[in-house]
Amino acid sequence: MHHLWRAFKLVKNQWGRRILAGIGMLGDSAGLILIPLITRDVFDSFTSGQPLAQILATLRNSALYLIAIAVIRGVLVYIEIYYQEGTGNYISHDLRKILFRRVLRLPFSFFDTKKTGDLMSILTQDVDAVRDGTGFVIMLIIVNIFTFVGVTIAMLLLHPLLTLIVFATFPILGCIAYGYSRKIGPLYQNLQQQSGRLHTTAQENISGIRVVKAFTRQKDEQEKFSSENKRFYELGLTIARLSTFAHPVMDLLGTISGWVALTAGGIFVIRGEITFGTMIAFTNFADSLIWPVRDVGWLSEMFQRAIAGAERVYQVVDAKDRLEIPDNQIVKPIEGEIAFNNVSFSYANGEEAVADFSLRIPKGSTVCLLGMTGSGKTTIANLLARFYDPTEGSITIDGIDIRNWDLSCLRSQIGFVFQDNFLFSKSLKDNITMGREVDDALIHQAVEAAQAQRFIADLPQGLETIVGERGIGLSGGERQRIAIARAILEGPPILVFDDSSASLDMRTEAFLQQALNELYQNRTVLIIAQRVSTAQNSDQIVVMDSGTIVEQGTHKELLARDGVYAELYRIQSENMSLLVEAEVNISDHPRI
Amino acid sequence: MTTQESNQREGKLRDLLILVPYVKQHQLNLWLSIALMIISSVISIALPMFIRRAVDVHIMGYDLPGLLLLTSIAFGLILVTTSANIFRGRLMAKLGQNSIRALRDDLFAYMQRLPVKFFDKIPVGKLITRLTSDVDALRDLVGNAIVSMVIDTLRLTGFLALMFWLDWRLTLITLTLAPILVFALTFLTARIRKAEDQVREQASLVNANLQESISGIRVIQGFQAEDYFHEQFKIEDYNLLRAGMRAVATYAYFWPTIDLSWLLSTAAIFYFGGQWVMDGTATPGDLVAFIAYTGQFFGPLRGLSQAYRIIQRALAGAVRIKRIMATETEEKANLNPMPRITGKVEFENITFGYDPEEIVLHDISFAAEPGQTIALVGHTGAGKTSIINLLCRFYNPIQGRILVDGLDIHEHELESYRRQIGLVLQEPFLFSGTLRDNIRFGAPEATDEQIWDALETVGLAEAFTKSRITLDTILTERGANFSTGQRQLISFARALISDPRILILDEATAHVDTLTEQKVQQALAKLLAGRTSFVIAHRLSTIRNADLIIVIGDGHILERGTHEQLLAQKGEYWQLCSSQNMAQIC
Repeated sequence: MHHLWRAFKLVKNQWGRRILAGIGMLGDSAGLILIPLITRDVFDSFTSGQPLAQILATLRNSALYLIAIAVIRGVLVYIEIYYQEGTGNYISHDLRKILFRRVLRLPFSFFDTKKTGDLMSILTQDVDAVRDGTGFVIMLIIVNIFTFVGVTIAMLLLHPLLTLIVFATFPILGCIAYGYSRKIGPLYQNLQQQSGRLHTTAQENISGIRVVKAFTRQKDEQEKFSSENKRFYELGLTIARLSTFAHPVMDLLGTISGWVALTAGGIFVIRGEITFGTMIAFTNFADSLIWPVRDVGWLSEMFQRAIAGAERVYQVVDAKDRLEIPDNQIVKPIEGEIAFNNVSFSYANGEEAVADFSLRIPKGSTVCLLGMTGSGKTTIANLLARFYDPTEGSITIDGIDIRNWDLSCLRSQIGFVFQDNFLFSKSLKDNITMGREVDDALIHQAVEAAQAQRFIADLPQGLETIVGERGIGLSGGERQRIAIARAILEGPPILVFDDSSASLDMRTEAFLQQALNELYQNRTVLIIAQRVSTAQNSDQIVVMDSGTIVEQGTHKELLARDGVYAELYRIQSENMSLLVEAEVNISDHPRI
Repeated sequence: MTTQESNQREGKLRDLLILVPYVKQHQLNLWLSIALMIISSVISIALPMFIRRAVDVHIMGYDLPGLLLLTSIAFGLILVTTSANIFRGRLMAKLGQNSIRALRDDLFAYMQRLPVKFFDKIPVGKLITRLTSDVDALRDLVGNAIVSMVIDTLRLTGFLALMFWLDWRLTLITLTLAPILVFALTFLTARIRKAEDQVREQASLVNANLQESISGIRVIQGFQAEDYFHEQFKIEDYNLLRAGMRAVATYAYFWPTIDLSWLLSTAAIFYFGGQWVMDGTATPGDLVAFIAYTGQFFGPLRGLSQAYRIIQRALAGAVRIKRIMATETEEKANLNPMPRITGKVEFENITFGYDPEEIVLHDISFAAEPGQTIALVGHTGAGKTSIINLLCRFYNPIQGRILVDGLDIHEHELESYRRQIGLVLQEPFLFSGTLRDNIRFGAPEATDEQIWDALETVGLAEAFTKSRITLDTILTERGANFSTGQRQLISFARALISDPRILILDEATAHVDTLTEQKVQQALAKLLAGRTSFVIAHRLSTIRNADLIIVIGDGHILERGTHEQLLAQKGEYWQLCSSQNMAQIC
């Protein structure tokens, strides 16, 4: 509740709108009280025995009042809906902005523990729940309360006993409506989930249709789909059973309350306690109270959802920044000397990724990390850019603990080529600049250095071509070259290259390798390597396993040591040996 | 699922006939429902007449017993309607849910039998829409729209008929206000729908942006692009706000307009009807009944306009579903099963194109002896994958024959042939479910022991035991909880367990890092032993040991021979190799 109120306060300086919406709501309810009273006058005039001219005047006035109410109330209801639902829209807009701003700056550890899907559902469904909650739900609740109280007072003033009689069915109606919404809400959520599962099953099957066919799995896939479909059907049927019962029963209670008003009112008319017109007014009042009572159910359900949604939204907004940011942050150009001092790091789930890791990387040198998947190589790169802070130990750049460097100063001087070469659904140019303001010459320089100029030239719109989900698809190699151009755009003194060149074809790779060697000049480079051939030119090779250093040295030193690296090298160059035999000329490298 | 397909008028009513066999099974439900609908409609039409009688005869006539009797009868009738509605609701829900469940199952089963060619042409998202929203549109038709059309038409005509019978003058006066209702239900509703579509569209843009930003968060933070992305997001989010406000502005007209028409007609009934009451040509009860009828006019009209929309959507869905069900399946009937394959594979003058106008393989002939490993080498787009697609019988050649053990594969039953083929693709395509189910995908009867053996062979067993992964570990969508290399190795294990006679590896080692690759190489050797194998690979190490290397360029075979022979030729293969050699040695 507290969080929903926080969301509600987001929209400031809107008191004008709120007052207007409030007036609209009052007018909306006032109409519902006035109309039966006018009706009462009309019907009372028939039996009043007044002179005809006076009755006709009453009729005319009543008709005019109704028309005036129709117009004024129409305008007020318009204002009510426009401003109140508008408020909901503004609030959700602001919430999304705040949330997204926060999400963009959340530490990586946050994303490790939360799945993309969960986060998305906060950003979409929960925000929408808050929008509805602060918009039309509040509006309807207020209008319904106004109406209920106003109509009840009017009825009590007219005839208290009749009022009580008419009210007899309302508690039952309210309870049923409330109970129904409580039950049906979760059922609909289950249905939604099941619909998602059905969707996923179909999607997996269709995208993997070749595998399905090659393994002749069609029948089993049919069964799998069919059983998901059955669950979907059963849920649908459960919901239908509940709603096809609850709705007619609620209709029944509504209709009966009208009839109760008519019959009981009729009895009082026959007894001469109330006028004929008052009886008609009571049936109208009874009618206008049915919906406020019926709405109790789903409105409370929607309101609950908004409260829960707001809570989840603010959990993200209030999420703690795990990085310590001390005062007097250093902002200056980086030279490029890096040192890891007894660094250990564990992920939030307790899994230790790096243990007591120490490494010195002199300015301008190239270090290559080798190791199996999961050996901690990528974690080292993540720690260097402060995507995480080490659990123990420290990392320094130019002798200064990276925690003392200004974060954006630090990251802007480290160029990253991430393993997945992620591209956004934007133009190639935007993907390379990532919003940095640089002139075109610099972009072209980076593109050329990354060996990407040739395939970009072949694209219809060149650098303006949109790529990714909403654009054209690039091959793995092309994506990697764009990622490289992105990393070297501003000539960062430190380059981190998480290599996944497995997806390149042979010829391109040869070109790229040459280009990379040039790029490595005059920078401190950290390569996370997939192949020995990349490693062997590095100034230092670090072989990792389970988060620790197994071997360390130059290519020659490590070969001489005859350990893991030498073994790897043997296997990979053996693949070459036959070729080398055929090509006797290239033989100045050691054959083992 | 967000694929917004045009709801424009596609298809004719007779396309809905595809529903007939499904509905027919439950036709008793349908007829009973219609009978119940008629009962409840007649009662709801008659109830205002009861009110009129109560007012005019019993209340105005001070007849208490009569009033109580009439009320009792009305209560009885209301109870009857309620029971009829409950019963009808259940019957129709059963009818709708059952028939649509069967339709969905059938549609999926049919899709499984369609050739791969079919799946190339239609994006996955659209096919899923067929199975989900299109089928749902038909359910809405069967479950709701048919009922609503019958009830609402009955009620509307019933109301009108009774109103005319009561007082034709008042009826005509109230009808003059009908255009306002019609305006709200047609023009306004259409505009609201359009505005809501725009909101949905804009919302899906915003969501796509969010999703992408979360997936690429490392890149964003790494390049300090938080503000840039935030600015861009703000623009899209602002567009969403504007679209939302436009929708609210349009929508806010709707209820005031409906209220307006109702209040204006009430005013008219009071003014004119009141005069007629005074001159004795109408009764107060007439006015009460009239107000009740005009108040109920809106419901059925709205119901009909919604039913119209549902029918439109159902028609569009029915046409698209029918189109799928009319596509030819890949299996010819009555073919002999393929006997157990020894493994000799021959391509005889094969010409093939995905589009007959565009030939991608020209007159390809080659033969593989049982147990041989054949490597297909060439640049992207040369035609390697097409050869494999033909061998898997995913497509049919335009000319030529493919013989396995001397038998034409197209003259034998598909399933018995494919059972003996193993396929490992660059993208491993794992399915959500347990690790066990994924590995024994091609051999459902495999025991846990066999599965662990397979995992051992591909070198995963140790790593899995270490990280406490069991066969019951659930793979999330596409196995995202495993690394790329592990996923590929799992797909190796999957192929191994199904023990194919012919094994096909299409770029299968591309995602495996070199350090893992040494394990893979050993696994591969075991995988290839004793089977005829076809291998497409970028890596020389995988190709080198093949018994036959076929170099393909532009759909032609350029060279063939062993590694040594081809190197000696110093042709295309030699060139390909030297470029890789450069990469690895320089």
